[in-house]
Amino acid sequence: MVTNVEKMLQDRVEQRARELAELKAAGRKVVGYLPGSYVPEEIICAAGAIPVGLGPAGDPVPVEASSALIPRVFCPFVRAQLGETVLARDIFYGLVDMIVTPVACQHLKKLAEIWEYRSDFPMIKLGVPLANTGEPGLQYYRDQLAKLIERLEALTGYEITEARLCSAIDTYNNLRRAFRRLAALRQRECPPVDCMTFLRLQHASLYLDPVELTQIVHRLCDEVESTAKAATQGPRLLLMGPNLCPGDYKIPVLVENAGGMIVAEFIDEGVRNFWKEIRADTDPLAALASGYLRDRVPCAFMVESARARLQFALGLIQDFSISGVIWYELVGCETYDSESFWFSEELRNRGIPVLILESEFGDSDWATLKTRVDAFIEILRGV
Amino acid sequence: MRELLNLFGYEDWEMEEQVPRVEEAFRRLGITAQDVESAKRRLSHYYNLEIVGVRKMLGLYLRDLVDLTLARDEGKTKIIYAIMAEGFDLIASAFGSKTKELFVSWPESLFEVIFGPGCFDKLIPILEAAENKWLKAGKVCHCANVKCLVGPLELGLIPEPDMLVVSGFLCETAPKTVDILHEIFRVPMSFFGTCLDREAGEDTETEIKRVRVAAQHMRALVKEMEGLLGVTVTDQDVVEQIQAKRVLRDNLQRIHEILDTSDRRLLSAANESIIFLSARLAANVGNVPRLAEATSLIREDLEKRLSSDFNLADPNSPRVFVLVPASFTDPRLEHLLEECGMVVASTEIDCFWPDGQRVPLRLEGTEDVYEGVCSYLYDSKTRKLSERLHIIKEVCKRLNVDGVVCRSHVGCRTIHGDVLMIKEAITRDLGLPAIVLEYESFDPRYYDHQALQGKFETFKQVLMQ
Repeated sequence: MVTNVEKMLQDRVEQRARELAELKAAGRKVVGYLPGSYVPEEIICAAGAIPVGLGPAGDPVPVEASSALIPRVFCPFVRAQLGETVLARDIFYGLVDMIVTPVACQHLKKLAEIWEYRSDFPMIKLGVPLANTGEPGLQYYRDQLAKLIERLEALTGYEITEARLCSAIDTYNNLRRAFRRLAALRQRECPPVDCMTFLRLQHASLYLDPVELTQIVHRLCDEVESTAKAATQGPRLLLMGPNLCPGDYKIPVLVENAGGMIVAEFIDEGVRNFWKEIRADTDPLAALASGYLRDRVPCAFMVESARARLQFALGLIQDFSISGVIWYELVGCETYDSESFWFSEELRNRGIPVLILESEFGDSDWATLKTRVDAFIEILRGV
Repeated sequence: MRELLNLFGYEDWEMEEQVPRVEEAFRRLGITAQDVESAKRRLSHYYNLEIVGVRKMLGLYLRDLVDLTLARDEGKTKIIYAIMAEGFDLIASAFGSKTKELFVSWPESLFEVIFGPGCFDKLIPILEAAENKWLKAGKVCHCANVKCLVGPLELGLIPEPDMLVVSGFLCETAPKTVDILHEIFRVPMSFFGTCLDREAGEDTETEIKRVRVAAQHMRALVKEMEGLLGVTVTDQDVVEQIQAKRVLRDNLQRIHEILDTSDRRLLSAANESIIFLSARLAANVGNVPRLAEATSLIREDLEKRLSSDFNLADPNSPRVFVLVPASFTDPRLEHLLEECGMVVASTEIDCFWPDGQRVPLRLEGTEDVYEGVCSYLYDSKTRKLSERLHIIKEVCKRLNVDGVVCRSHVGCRTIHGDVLMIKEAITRDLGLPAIVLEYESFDPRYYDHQALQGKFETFKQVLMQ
C-alpha cells in the first residue's frame, strides 16, 4: 500500500506540471519559492497565484553546471538551483512567472543576488532577520511580507484581502493538521508509515494543491490507522539537519537498507514545518509574520538558536522514543556544522548516540556513508 | 625586549613600567626569546617601520593584547569580547568613559596581527585549537577569523569573558560561533544586527528600515550592558564618543585621500588594514588619544612623502586594485605583489556606497545617533552583489588601475560568493585584466609563496602588454 502511495505521488507530481502549464496558459500565475520555511504560501495563494516549491536536489549535474557562477564552497543545494537555471531543464523552474527567494543564510542571499544580477527571472527577495525574537526583527519581517503582498498583487491583479488571507491560512492549517496526524502514527511502536513515504508526501506538498494533498494524507491515515504492522523495523531514529529537498534521498535509503527506522525528521528546508499552526484569531498578516518567524523552532543560522533547537529535538526524542540521531548536513553549511558539535556533545551527555554525516549530491561517497550508517545502526542494535 | 618594544613604538620613558608587563603577558602567551628575535626581523621586513606612526599603530595592538592577557589581574572585573561588531567601539568607549572596571577587546584581531606571520608567526596552533573543537578544517571552510576567537579561549590564553557581542551585518557565521561559545561558557551574548537582504541604493524604504532594525538592536545591547555594568549611557554619551574620535576619523580620511590621489606608492599596502581597521581598538577609551597620535604621525609622514618625489615603487609598475582589505593576519601577500613589481593602488577597505567614498558620511548628523553608528552597513562588503560591483568599478576608475586582483576570502560566503561575477564584470565592463585568488584572509596556511609568485608574475606580464 505504502509503495503505491509513493508511486501515486510521483505520477501526481508529474501530472501536476502539465496541469500548471494549462493553468498558466489560461492566465493563472505560477509563483515559485525556495523552501526553508520562511515564504508563506498562504500569501501566494491569496493573490490567486499557484505556489510551487522549487528545490530539486540530489543530482550532481546542476551542481557542476553552476561552477562558472558561484564558488565551490557554497552548499550543493544553492549551487544546484543556480545550475538548474543554467541548464534550463527543470520543468517547474520553466513554469514560474516569479520567484520568491528568502534571504536567510549567506548561501541563499548569494543565490538571490546572482539571480537578480543576471536577471534570470522576476524575483522578490524576502528578507529574513537573523534574530527571530524581539520586535524589531518581527516588524521588519512583517514589512517584508507586506512588500511581498504588493508585488504579488501587481503580478496577478488580485487584491489580497484579509478574508482571502484567512481562507488561505485555514487551508494550510488543514494540511499541517493532516501531517501532524500522520506524524503521530509514527510515534507508535510499530509505525505504519516509513520515512520515504513521509518524505515523498512532504515533498509533494511543494507542488500539489494543498486541499488535494490534505485529502491524500487523511486517506492514508484512515487506511493505516488500524494496522498493527510496522512499515519498517529497527532502531528508531531522528533525522536532523539543514536540507533534505526532493531527490536528496541518499541518507534515508542508506538508513533503511541498514535496518534503521527514521520515525521523525527535524529538517528545515524541504521538509515542512507542520508542528505549529498559524493563528487564525488575529490580524492575518501579523499571524503569518509571527507564525513563520517567531513561533516556530528557529533554523540554525538564527541568533541564539542552538538551545531552542536542542530543546525541540529533545522533545521529539522523547515523543518518538528515539534511540539515536542522524545529523545530515550538506558540505559548506557552516552554521549547521558548528551546531552539530555542541548538539552531539549535549546528546551524548544524555546517553543518546549521534552520527554526523556530511555529503554532497551524487553517489561518489556512497560506500563511505554506507559503512558509517551500517556501523551506527549495528551499534544501536547492540544497545 | 626593549628593541622589540621600540619597533612597536614604545617610548624609552615607559619601558620600566611596560617591560615587566609585556614579559609576563608573553610568558602566559607562550612567546619565547627566540620568537622575539624572529618578530623583530619580520616586523622590519613587512611593515614601513621608518614611519613612527606605523610603529605606534602596531604597538597599539600589542598593548591591547598585553592589557587583555593581564586584565583580570589588573582589576578589570567586566570583560567583553566583540567580533564582527563594527560600530560597537563607540558604544564600548561610551561605557568605558563611565567605569574603569570594563575592558573590551576584539581578541581575534589582536591575535591575527601579533600572532600572524608579520610578527610572531604563531597563529597556526591557535587555528588548530579551534579546529579541534568545532570549527574543523576541510570542505566546510569555516572562517578563520572566528577561529582566532575560539582558539585563544580554548587554549586558555585569554580570560573567559563576562559578555560576548556580535553583529550580523555581514554574516551569520560570527553570531553562530558566539552562540556556541555562549552555550559552552554560559556567558551572556548580545547581538546587534539586521537582515542580510540588501535593496538598491541607500534611501529606499526597505534600506532605511534595515538600518533602523540594526539601530534598535544596538539600543537593546546598550540596555544589556547597563545591566551588566551598573552605569547608564545616554544618546549624548554616544554623540560625545563620535566627537571624541573625530581626529581619528579625519586622519584616516586624509590618509586615504593621500594614498588614493597620489600616482606614487607612498606606503606599502601591507600596512593598510593595521591602520584603517584600527577603530576597533578605540573601544577602550584610553586608546583614543594614542590612536589619534599614531594616525597623526602617519598622516604627517605621508604628507611629507607626497610633497617630495618619494616612491616605494618603480614609476612604470602597473597599478592593481585588490579585493577585500589587506590581511590583518598576513602581510606577505601584499608584500609579494609589490616584490613582483606591481603597485597595490588600494585594497577594498572603507569603500562606501554609492561611489566608493572612503569615509561614511552618515556617522554624524543622523536623527537617531544609533543609525549613524550603523553606517558600516554602507560599506561595499555588506552591499549586495550588483552594488558591491558598482562601488568596485567606481573605485577602479578613480584610482586609474591597470588590473584587479580578485582576492576572495573563502571563509566568508557573503564576500566569496561575488568573486566570479566581479571578475567577469571587470573584464567585460572596464576592459581590465583580473585574476581570482581564493584565499583565507586569516589563515597563514593559505599562503603558498611559489604558487602565488608564479601567478603574480604571469599577471604582471599580462598587465604590461
